[in-house]
Amino acid sequence: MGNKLVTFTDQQLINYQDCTFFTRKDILRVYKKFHDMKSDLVPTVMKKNEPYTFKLPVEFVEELPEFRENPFKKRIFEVFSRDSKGNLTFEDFLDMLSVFSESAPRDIKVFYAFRIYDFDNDNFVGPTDIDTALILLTRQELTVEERRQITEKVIEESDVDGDGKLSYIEFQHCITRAPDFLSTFHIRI
Amino acid sequence: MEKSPELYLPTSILRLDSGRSRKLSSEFKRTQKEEVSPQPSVDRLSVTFAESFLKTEVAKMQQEQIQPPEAAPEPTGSDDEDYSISVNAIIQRRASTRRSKKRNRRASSPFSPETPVPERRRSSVFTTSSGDTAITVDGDQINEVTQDEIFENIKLHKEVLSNVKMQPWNMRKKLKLVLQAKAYIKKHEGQLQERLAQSHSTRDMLARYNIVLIKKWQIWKRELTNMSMWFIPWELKIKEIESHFGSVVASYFIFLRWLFWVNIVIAVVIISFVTIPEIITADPEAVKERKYVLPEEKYNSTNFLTLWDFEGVFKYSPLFYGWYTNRDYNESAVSNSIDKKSFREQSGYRLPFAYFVTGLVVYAYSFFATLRKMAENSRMSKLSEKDDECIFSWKLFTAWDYMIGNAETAHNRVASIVTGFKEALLEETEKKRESRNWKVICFRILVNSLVVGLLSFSAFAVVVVVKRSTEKEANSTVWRRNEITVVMSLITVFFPMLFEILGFLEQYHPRKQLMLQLARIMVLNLLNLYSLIFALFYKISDMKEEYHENFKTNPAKPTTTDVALYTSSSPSSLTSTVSSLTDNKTLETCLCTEPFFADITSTVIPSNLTDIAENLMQRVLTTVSQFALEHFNSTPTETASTEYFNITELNMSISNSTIIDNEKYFNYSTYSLDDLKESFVDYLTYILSQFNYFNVTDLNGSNVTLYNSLNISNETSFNQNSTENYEYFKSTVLPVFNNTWPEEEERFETDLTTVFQEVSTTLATFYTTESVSTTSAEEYNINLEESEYCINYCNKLMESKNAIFNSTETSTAVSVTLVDMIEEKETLNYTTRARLRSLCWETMFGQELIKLTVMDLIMTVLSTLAMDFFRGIFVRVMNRCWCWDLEKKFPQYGDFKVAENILHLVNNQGMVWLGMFFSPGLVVLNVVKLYIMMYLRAWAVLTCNVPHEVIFRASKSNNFYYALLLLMLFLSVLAVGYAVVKVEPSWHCGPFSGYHFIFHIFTKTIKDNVPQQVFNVLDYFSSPGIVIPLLVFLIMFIYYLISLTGALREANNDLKIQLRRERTEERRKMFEMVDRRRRCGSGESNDQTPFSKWKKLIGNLPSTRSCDETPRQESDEIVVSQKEEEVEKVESKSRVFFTKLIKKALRKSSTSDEEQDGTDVDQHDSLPYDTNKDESTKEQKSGIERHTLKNIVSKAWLRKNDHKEEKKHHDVELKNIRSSQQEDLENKKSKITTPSSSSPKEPPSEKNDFLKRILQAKKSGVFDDKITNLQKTINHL
Repeated sequence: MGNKLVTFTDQQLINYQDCTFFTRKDILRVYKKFHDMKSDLVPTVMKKNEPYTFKLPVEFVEELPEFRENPFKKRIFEVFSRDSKGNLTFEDFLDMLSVFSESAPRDIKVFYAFRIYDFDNDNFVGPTDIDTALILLTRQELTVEERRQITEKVIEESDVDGDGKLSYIEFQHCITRAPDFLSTFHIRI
Repeated sequence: MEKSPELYLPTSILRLDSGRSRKLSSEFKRTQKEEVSPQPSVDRLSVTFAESFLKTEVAKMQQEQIQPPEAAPEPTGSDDEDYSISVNAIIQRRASTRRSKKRNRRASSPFSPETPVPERRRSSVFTTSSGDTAITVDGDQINEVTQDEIFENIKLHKEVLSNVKMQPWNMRKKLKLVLQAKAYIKKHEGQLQERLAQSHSTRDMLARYNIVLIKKWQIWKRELTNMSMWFIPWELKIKEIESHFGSVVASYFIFLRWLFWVNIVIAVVIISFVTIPEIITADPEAVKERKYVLPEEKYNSTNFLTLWDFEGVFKYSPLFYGWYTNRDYNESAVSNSIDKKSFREQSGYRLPFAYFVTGLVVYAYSFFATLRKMAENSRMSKLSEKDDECIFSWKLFTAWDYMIGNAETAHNRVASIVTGFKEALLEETEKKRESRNWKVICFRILVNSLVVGLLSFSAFAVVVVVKRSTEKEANSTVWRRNEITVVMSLITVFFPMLFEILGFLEQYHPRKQLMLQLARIMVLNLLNLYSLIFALFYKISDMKEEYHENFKTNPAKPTTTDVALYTSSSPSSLTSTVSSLTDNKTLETCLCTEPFFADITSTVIPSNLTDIAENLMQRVLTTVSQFALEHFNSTPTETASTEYFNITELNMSISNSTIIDNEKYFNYSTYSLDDLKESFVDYLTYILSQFNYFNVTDLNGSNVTLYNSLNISNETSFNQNSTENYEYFKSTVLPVFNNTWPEEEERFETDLTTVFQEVSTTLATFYTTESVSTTSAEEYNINLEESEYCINYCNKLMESKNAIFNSTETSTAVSVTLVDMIEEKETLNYTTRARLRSLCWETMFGQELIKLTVMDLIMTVLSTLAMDFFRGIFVRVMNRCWCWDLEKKFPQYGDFKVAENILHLVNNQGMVWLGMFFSPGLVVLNVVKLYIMMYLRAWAVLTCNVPHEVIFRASKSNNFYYALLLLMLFLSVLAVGYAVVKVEPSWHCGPFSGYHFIFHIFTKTIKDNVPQQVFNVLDYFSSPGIVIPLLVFLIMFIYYLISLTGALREANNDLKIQLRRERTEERRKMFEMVDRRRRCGSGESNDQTPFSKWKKLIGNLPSTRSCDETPRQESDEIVVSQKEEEVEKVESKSRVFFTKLIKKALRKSSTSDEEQDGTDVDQHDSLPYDTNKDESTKEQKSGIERHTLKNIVSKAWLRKNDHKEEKKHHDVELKNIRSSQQEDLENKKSKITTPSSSSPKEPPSEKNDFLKRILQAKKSGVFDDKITNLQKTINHL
């Protein structure tokens, strides 16, 4: 309302508001961010179905300062994009930031965290997933042996049912008790 | 295909849900025209992920064995598949309340989910169906949808609207859900009452405002916390250091920062309550002896070497005890006992008392701060101890801060994560290592004996050095002067290195090694410190002896000085003294002469000073003689000895004051008339005081007989002495004049002679007349209270003196100018004066410690530069042209030595606490020092040091540091306490001069301000009669607390063991829970969910009521019903399997609308399929199954016992199980190429509840029952 640039209709905005943890202003800001990533590609005004059809290629999204240093950025985009390749539509983008926003509840964050760490999409965080995460997280500064030890330790700590990998429940059980999960798993925009 | 669900479904809710979903989705399709085309399967994963993996989880649990996870989730249809499924997911809990009976009934009801939904229902309230399937059972009731129901539905939709964002779906889906809900609301809201709508909207608005407010508040709060980070000094620096060097190094800096804060607080308190009041209230002119450098020393008082020793200007600065005055109105007010009121009015800032109390408060604060920090830390460590269980997982999953956007920060973060992992790994390896070989033990013994040897050597060295410093030639060279500091600093620098080398031999865990190292260096430091303290106290006692020898041999001098000592300085005190004497006849004379003198001084030109002096002398002498005569007239009873005694002194002082005047004149070109006048006034007062003094003596009549006995000898001695006196007098005066103004000497000499002659003649007359006055006796009420401390002094003097002093103390309370005069008189020659000044042992104590502190800082800077910086540069530069690798082999780069540095801080702080009382400026200096240290160390660490090879985690609490600090504080306080209670303060410097012991000021103040009765009580409380029982009680109490702690620790350990046991049992619990769920649905525990409201809501609906009539007695039937289900399942397994295969085929081949249906079908079938599939696999591999089950059960039982030996056995079993799981997995994979997944979606919160339930169930001991159930099942199988 009162915006010079009518990117979305009021109805749309309200709907988005209902679906995310953002206010109207936030949503517009998110859109601006989305737009600024590649202003010559992204249309200024989203047409009818462009919010969910227009895809911004992943290489542009990665340039976002909030994600530039994130070791898991590729994976995050994959998780949130509908084509699983990391190309984000605006709605995906909004969704992503909404999940990472401060007001998102722990449960949903845990859910997406699980998906992010589940690199091979097998619904379990297995040793390979942990290893991948470790490589990304430490930028290969740990030796193979150390990584192996850590992987073992992680499994040992959190694997309740002894299948050598973490199911969602196990993951959640472990993560929800972590003191700083909520404080680290969020992105302010 | 469509009927299959009803037949086999053990959990009808799920089936019904899915049925609903299908129906609704078909309906939904109509409204959503522009749907995105179905996405590839990977995309679908995102939609159905939760269901699918949950599903597998459930299946896995049901089978009591681990199923292979579905490699890829079953393609379940497109995004737009279902509004209803989503709603179902949200309100699933409500639906799942239904029990087996209901399920049975529904299963047998003709109402299959696939039955085309009646048109009316779809058009009117599809949400009703989406809300609850139970409605479908009693379909006709739906016809008459009441307004209430619509309202409820709307409410439901609104719940959906508000909760949709909580669901982990993608945006499209959520949007659709929202659109649907809105459409419904819009459609139906109009029909509702206006009032309802309105109330709703206002409420909505309020809610929205509320939300906005909360959000704003949160943002604001966040910003505030971000802001507050700015005010924590060095936070970023410490973080950076921590990320590169580990938590141990960071702990040093945190400790340093904390110390910095404590010191700042102490410094502020001291400055604001001691230093500033002193500067404001004290009159520096009045107490020159304390505040100014000797004129003779002035020339080199700002030399570097002088300053380096904290002599010269520094010595007479607020840094030291000696600078502070002892002006206390309580003391100075002569009228104290006479006129309490005036005393009260006069009482300003009582600096000595403030000094004492501030000291007490500061020490108390130090204790308090340390203890509070320790308590805080231990609380934290206790909390974190519990949470330590998942350290690696947490590091892995939550270590990365997603907020990081800066490359530098990211780099730091990665470094810190790597460091953290390394620390944690080290912990793990250390936990495992259990080395107890003889070699190591031998080494440890050797190391410990060596350490003891080193410690004793250092103690010996310090003792020797301190002894040397008390020798005569101690000040001869620079080296000798700084011997103590240098030796001690060398010891503190080099011994820790030796300890560190020795520590490597011991092969402890680095953290333990650090602790040992800390303890050893601490002992070293304490030894040093204490030998220093003892040496200093020896020195003090030596000084006292010297002082007594030099300044107390002549009874007259100490008498005067001591008297003067008890007086306080201020013009007002002078006037008060004078005014208190108004009744005195003598004083009247005096007052008459005073203006006269003033006139003279003002008119006479200063250059003609000797004339003035002469005039004055004459005047004074006449006054004196008059005075004496008057007294003689009034009182004929006088003891000659007293007379003699006083007059001798008077004589001395008269001459001296003249000299002082002259000296002043000669020494200072700027001689003001005011000064002259003042000194004369003082002089006069002094003379008066002398008379007062003997008057009072006479009044008392105490020891008159004694004096009489001494009479004759004194009488005879006087005349003989007079010449001697003159000689002495001349000899003391002349050097000054010789030095300054020789041409004046002669004239002065003659003047002096005349003056002396006059004085002696006057005295002679005085003496012969034996005058004494008693007229003024009444005015001088002897304030015995006041002279309490004087008594102590006088004990050292002659008995007669003692008596005199008791009585005369008050009356001799005159201005400090007078005191100065006396002092100057006494220490007239420079050497004596300097000697006297240097005998202020408190200042010496403070100087010693301040020197140590500064020396320490310089050593730190130098060693940091040498050991880290230059070494680093050398290694870096020379490495290219050196024979071996400098970076890897010998010199290497320095690493941060935590133990030494921590101890260095502790030690330094101990010094500060030790010296704080006698050198208030030390704390300020220390604040500066810590500030410098912070930057120096941080710089050195970040630029020159490399991280330690073994990075280990600092213990969570770091309480060891604080414990050391506390110990240090305690020992420092002990030393200071000794000085306060047992060592006599110097009489000529500092705020406590005049008290026998420093603490007397406290007791005295209490005595003065507290009623006598209370004081008696207090006195009793401080007597051994109370103190000893109290001490015994405290010891008992400590003993009790210790035993209590022991018991609690035991209990704690028990609980920990219990926790661990429970954790190992968690797996079993999981199985149990899943089993229970399978049998009774997930219904039992939904009360805590946010959706319970909906459940309640639906409970109001008639249809639900009809369902709910089923009594809640399922728990008894569980076993039976389960058995039935088993049978059912077995019968139907093959059908299910085929159904599934067909479905899959269908789905793969088509992309049409039918496919959507198929997906739906598949979806709602998925759970039944899965469970049945499980059953089928069970059947097929019953051998393995049974084996596994038995294994598990037996394992569960065994685990209860939790024996270590059995653990291995467990592991073997576990392997068995795992292998069987593998087999299962293989089987499954071979059979089912695309495993189905999509199980009913469970909101994450439910899983949480699930875990909660596990815990609850664990507590209630459900498990034993469950195990029996399980066994029954096995038997059945």
